[in-house]
Amino acid sequence: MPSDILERVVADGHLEDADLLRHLDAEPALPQVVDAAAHLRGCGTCVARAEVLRRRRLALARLLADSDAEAAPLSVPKAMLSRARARERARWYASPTLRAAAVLLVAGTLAAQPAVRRWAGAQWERATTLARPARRAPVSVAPLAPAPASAIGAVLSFEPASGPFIIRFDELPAAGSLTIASDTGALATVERLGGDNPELLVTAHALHVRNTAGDTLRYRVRLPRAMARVYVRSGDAPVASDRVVDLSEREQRIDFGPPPKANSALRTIP
Amino acid sequence: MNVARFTRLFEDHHASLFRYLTRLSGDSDVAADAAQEAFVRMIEGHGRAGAIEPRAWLFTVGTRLVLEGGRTVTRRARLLDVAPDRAPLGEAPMDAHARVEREERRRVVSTALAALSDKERTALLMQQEGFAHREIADTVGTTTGSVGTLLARALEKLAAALPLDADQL
Repeated sequence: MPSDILERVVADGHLEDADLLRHLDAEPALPQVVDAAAHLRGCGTCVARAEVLRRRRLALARLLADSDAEAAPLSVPKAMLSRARARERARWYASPTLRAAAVLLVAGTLAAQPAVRRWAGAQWERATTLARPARRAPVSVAPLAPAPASAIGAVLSFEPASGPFIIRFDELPAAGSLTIASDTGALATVERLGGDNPELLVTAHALHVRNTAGDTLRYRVRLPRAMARVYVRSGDAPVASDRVVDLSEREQRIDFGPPPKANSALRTIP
Repeated sequence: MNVARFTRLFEDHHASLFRYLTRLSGDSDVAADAAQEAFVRMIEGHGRAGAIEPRAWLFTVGTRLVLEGGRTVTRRARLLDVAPDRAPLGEAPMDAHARVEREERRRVVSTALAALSDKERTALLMQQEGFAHREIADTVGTTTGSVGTLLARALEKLAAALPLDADQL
């Protein structure tokens, strides 16, 4: 056995854990290591150690699975699909051959009727728009500074990710309202209509209002209709019995405060 | 990449990428953002997207986004401290006891993983997702031969922090 092989086998003549793990993963042994399979056939100590490592890995896999967080969306978010389609079209327009053909076509039609020139101009504008890189959703938007206390009507604007959105209050506010509107645009906004002004944290997936139970809050949140689902929570409890706000409604309002109105009743504004 | 191929790649790999990145970062929001960003970069044809095996490419990009966004992770971790047991998105409600147990398990595992170095954690979690040592080495920026050592070190540290040995289960 060459000396470098002897060096790779640990002092007491057994394989190292790294070599055993390589063997368990069916990876080829390092050139300077003895054939692990051959060694294991004649070494009870290394067989026992390999079994310990194998069991640890299984136990780890179980622990990880048991502590995994929420499931990911099963289908492609609509916004991402639109981007892929736009990219596919942009690639078509970005082809040098097709661009050259388009230029020749435009030049040839310049002498033609004004309507044709207008059409060609519109097509060119569309092609150059699609060829521009699409604006990418930010990895994170949080935290944003709260609006000044005096700034009623202040608006925070951000680009939410696709998928569900959570509006979370630290505590159920004492009074006020939360109006949730849907919009066909890609941006979301939070507008302060009055009341107290706690700190707001905005991420691509959530709006976190760091309020106290005595606060009066009045906000209007406008979200892209494509998001479809909005959860409104106080701490971890749903604020309204309807817990999920349906953005197919044009505008919905949650009133905070004591009866006679049902506490935090969700109603649709016609 | 056409839309049909992209859709198939998303359906095949998004769930496992999200799971892996959540374990890596300890934060599902960060994982969701990084997974989305990895797919967006794939759409836009960044780097070697399309030239190498797409799953390995997505995991490598997602890993870098999470590890390079360390400050974001820290910031979000602070936010999670405020509401550590928040309800997961779209998940069926759990009874209080099961939820507390699950949160405690998540906290213990997350703490143990966070104690590993970035390379150890990445190697260990990628191995759990079934990647070969060569692919793990490409992602963490080391040699294939060193991956076994990274895995052994990571497993030893976790065995000291988590009930991985049979008599502890």
